Amino acid sequence: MRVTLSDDLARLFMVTPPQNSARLHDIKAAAAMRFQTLYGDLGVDPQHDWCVEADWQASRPFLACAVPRRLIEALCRAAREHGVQVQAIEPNFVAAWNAARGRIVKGAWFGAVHEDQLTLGAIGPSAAHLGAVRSLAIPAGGQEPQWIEAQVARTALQLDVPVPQQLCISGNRHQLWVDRRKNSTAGTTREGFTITNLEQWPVAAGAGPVYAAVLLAGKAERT
Amino acid sequence: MKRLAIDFAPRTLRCAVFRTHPLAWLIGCASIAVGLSAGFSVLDLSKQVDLDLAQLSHLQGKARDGAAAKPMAMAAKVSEGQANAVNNAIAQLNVPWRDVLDAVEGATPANIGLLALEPDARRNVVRGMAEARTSGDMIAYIEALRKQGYFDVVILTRHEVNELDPNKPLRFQFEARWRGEGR
Repeated sequence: MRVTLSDDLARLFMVTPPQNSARLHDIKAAAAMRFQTLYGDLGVDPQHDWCVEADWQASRPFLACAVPRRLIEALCRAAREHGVQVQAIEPNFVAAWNAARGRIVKGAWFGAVHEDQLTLGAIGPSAAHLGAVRSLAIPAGGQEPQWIEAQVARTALQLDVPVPQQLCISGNRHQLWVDRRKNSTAGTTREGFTITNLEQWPVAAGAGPVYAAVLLAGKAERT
Repeated sequence: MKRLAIDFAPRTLRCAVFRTHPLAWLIGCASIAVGLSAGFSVLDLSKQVDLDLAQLSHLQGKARDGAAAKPMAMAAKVSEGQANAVNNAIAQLNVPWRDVLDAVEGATPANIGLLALEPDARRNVVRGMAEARTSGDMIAYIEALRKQGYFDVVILTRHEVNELDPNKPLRFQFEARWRGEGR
């Protein structure tokens, strides 16, 4: 069983490895410190209450993710009770990225949508890896293309990077921000800015992930 | 784009089996096969080396026994003086004495009394001592020796009148060199 966690259950953040890091332990310490800096004032103990995993890199900033330890333990316990082997537990953004990474156009940004949650991944113009990540809640009027354009432009300003010309979207609301009248999987909100829907995520019923939010609520359900 | 390796699933053996890429399995299996093959080869070679060593040890033992049974002949140590003496003796034995004697006797007439003949093997020379009535007989005799084809050089080395003899014969010495093989 592969488990995909909704992005609102996880904390996604970027970590810059220290220049003098010599071992994995150093990078892990840097990630823990970064998590403490970002979320340490929430009254939780990052070391004991959260599990931190990352795409560990020593030479460039990398994506890290923290998930409540209680959630992971509950998932594993439930899987054990039902005789199921857990193969993977991934945040939605990571699962979507890994599934769609071959189709992300060079120079484009990547967005993973799940329900009303959008996680934006900024990619450098010439880089082949993630540069920054932002989690956004889609408001009531967020279906309009102007909203996503404004969010991308704002995020680019915050990160001090060029505004991308294209955004590749993956998620279970694949018709978001696309011109419905043309029944197309791609839409243009303004001159030069294109939104491409890569796929509907999860792809098919029965083969898709189990969402931890449902499982935690006591209603184990495969979607 | 590069894959994001973020996974919260517990690290179990079964999980690792599921996660391992088929190519990695293939490479692993191939490596194990190569390793096993190499191991068996090493085993075979080791056995062969043991056999060879045993055979070598056996052969060495045999060679040692053979050497003990047949002691090596000690090389004779001969000094230079002894070697020269032996060589001289051999040379004396190799003198063509019969040919020399035949040649000298063939050239000796009745009026010449041949008193002594002494060969020198190293120089291929025979020294002779004889007596003649007159110097003419002596010269004729020397000439006769020269005409013998056996000698290439005949030299009259000394001559004197034997005053002790009442006939006053002319005693003379000569050297005749025969044609040796090694000259």
